Amino acid sequence: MTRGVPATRLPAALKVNSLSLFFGLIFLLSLVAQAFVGTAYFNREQLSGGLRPVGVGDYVLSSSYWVDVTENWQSEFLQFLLFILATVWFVQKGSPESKAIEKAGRESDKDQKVGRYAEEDSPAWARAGGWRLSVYSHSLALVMGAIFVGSWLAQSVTGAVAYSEEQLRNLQDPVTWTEYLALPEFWSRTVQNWQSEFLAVLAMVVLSIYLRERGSPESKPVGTAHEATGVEG
Amino acid sequence: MATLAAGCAGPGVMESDAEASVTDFYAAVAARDGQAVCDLLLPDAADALEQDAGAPCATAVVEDPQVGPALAHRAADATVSEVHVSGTQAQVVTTSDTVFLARSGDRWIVTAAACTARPERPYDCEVEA
Repeated sequence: MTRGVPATRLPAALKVNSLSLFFGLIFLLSLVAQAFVGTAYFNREQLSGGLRPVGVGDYVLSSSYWVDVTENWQSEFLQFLLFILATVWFVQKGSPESKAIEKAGRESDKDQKVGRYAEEDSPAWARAGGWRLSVYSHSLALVMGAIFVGSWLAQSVTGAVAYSEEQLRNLQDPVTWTEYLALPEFWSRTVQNWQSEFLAVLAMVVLSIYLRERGSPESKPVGTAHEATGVEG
Repeated sequence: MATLAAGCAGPGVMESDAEASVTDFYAAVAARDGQAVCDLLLPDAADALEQDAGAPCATAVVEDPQVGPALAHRAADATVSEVHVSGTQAQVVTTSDTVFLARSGDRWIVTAAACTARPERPYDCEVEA
């Protein structure tokens, strides 16, 4: 029990944030697990080469660790970025992941509750108009896009170092960052992640037309017709 | 990100440590101090040398008719011109050689020396595992 938080309020605070807390927790556990198994994997190579093993602390500061982390991050954020943007214009009849067919596009100010249609509890920048409204209207895609670009850039930098490390281990010359960007290794790491993300989105969009998970907002209510679009459970 | 490239210590420290190992290695070769040379070698590389030469490492690096002159020739002009560090591996280019090293514990050890470049293939080295 955290000191200073009333006993009756803590469970409520946990409950209303349980989705974020759950994913935050399993994210951290996975990241730590990756650090440990990654160290074990890396040390197999060290030992087979007659070298001393490295500690987890050294490994989590290595490019070998971060290229594996960031290549997955960039593809996940690209997936959600594309999903956010594509669902503005593209629709899928029957899918709860799609909005209603007739709502394709940016929608009216009234639908979006901006400008003079803003409500009392609308975010301040939604009521503000001008450049603040423009920025806020795209803030989700902007931030997701920035994380995607940043992660991909980090993948390229750490990937160049990790690739050079492997080259040197095999008595070959290291590569520069710009040379690495033109190598199949960089694009293989990138595209192999993209394809799996796009397949997962496609599966969600299409399977949720016909299949249900009772109680999940990612599914239509169990008894809803297959043709119903833009309905979440 | 540059720190990630080299590990915990700053990249400058790692690079100068790798350079120092090569300088020590070729100083030992020039001094015909076989034991000091072998102490700076990857154990697997020292074993390979012993197997090929049929003699202890400390003897082979000085007296083997192929390895001894190849190292001595390069030790004569071992001015370092380039140092590349990538994680636990490094490459130090001297006026007459390209030396490969690996980080083992808190020091750099030589994994390959007296190396000749080959297009699209690994370097061909007189001393390697």
